[in-house]
Amino acid sequence: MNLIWHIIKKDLRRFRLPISIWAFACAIVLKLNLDSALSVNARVPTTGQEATVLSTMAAFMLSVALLGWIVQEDSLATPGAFWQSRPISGGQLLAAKSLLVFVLLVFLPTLVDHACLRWQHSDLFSSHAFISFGSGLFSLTAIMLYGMAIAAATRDNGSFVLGAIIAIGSYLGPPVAGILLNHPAAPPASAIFTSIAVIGTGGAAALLNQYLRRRTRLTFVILGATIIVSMLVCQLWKLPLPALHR
Amino acid sequence: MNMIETHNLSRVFGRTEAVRDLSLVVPKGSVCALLGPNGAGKSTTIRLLLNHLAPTSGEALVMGVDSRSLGPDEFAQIGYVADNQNLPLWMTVRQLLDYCRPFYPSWDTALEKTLLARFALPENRKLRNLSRGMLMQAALVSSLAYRPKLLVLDEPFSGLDPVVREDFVRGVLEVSTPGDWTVLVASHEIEEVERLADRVALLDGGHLRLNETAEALQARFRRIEVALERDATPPQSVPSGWLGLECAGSLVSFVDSRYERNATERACRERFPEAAVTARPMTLREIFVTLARAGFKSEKGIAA
Amino acid sequence: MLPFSIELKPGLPVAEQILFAVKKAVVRGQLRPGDKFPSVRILSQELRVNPNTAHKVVAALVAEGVLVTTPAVGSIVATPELGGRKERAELLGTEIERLVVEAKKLGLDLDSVQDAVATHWKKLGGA
Repeated sequence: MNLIWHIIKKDLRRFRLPISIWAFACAIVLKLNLDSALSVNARVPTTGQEATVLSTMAAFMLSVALLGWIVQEDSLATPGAFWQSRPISGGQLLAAKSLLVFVLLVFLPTLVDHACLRWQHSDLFSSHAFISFGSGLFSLTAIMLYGMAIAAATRDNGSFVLGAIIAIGSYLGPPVAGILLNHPAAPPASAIFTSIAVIGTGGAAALLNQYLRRRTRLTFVILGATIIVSMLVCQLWKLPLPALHR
Repeated sequence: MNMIETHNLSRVFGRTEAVRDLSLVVPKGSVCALLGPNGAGKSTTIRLLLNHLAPTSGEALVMGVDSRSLGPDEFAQIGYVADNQNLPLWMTVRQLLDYCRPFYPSWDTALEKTLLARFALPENRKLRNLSRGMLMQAALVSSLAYRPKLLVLDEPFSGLDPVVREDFVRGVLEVSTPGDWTVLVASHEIEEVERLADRVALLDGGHLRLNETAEALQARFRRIEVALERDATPPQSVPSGWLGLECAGSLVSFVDSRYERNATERACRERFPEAAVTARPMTLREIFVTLARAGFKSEKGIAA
Repeated sequence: MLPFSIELKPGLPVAEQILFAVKKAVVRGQLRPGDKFPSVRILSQELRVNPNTAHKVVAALVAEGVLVTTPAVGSIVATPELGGRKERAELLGTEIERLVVEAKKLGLDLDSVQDAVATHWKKLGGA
């Protein structure tokens, strides 16, 4: 456990500037969200809305960049990376990276965001709050795992971003195509939920393979299969199979 | 016990065979020099041994463990220094050492201090702001401070000036424990390794051409000069061990790669009846160059 | 720095060169009986040679009676054991034979060889 914390400390020191900038961006997003939620009655100027959207996008992109940087700092896809001749096990590395990314990029933002919002609506400890927090956490964790797997299998920032774009494009392809072709029927929440669960599971499996076995090709296969299965799950609800409609 | 053993190790990149059918042995306690020209496959061999690459066929055993299964227990006893090593350049020297220390149970802080002082490294300078020589020295400190049982050096001298080279070698010898310490040095700087090595392995085009003790190698190579009374002409047939035979004026010169005093003298007397024969020992560089020019035809593979 | 002069030349076996240099230093008086001899580690570091080689050299020097190992201090230069004059001369037998063979090959006569021996004798000090 000591060694895992040792690796995390190193990463925190390495990325303290980007993390600070990202935290600042998140703070801005939070403030803007709170402001717009407060001014329910007042006319919200369009610039405010634009600012919210832009800053949210900026914060999101920074998160993705940070995830890539943190994972690729101790790369698994580059032969001869610094840690590969050192007594650092793949398991330790995986634990350290996952913990840092989860707490920093998933848990804390979700917690703060939900806490602030719920506090505003004065239902901080309601079951509704917990469910909303839990499902937000669940979805983000699933995406995080998948994103980490892409970063672990690619050699540099460029390839990681490319991989992420391909993955996002594949997942959002059918719904977007559906909208464009005038079949805008949205799958039920259960289908979406299941498909996100598939993404999370596939991501976790790919991560374990990459960190413990370092079979990069297999990682890509798992990632590809995961996307396909999750797309199918979303589309399957259309078939007359009664069990899936619940 | 053999520290390193490979059995028909091969690695292919696309259509190039970087390492072919390599069966190399490095006994425990020896200092083995892995020599060969650029592109001979030395770096690839080392990367295979340390599991930076997987073999396409064959196997490599390091400290008795298959290279593909090397884990923290083994790496805690292996030191690796190479040119282009992917060090975290954003760290200072001090940060690098502080980062590495907890991973090694046998880390010796006193030794770390000694080596830092010997190399006079500025502790608070970032690695990316160090000169090449200092960077190699920093890498060396981070790989020696835990007294590794196996030290693997891949072209450690390239781009280093003579003073730094000396310091480097002395630093390496600082942790030597006769019998319990094995070194594999891959280099094409023959002079640096000549005094250090007690075994020599020669790679050429991915093939292992030589693998014997330095003593045996030096004992069987001699540069022979024959002074004749008349103009020299090349003899009809020569033993297969004679390489690079040349004649100039009344002198005949060649290299005998299977030198044995009586046998060679007899072979000379048969071909050059009343000539004065001198046999001179050769440096490792001269041996290597002679073999390379002769296309390694006289060496069929591994000797003892 | 080592307490005896040596210059390693590539091509000749390292161990032999060190052995010869040490013996020469003892003869010239650079190393006197009782002087401390460097440890294997210092020897290997100063000369940048394989520690196994340094180890072998020290062992050979001890075996030949040039050095003596004491438990506390390490290796020290031994006090020469003077055997009979005839015995010592016999020990030189192989060297003398080699010298004579070389001289004959070079076409030198006995006088020239004796002159050369005398010159070197003087250079290394003593009568």
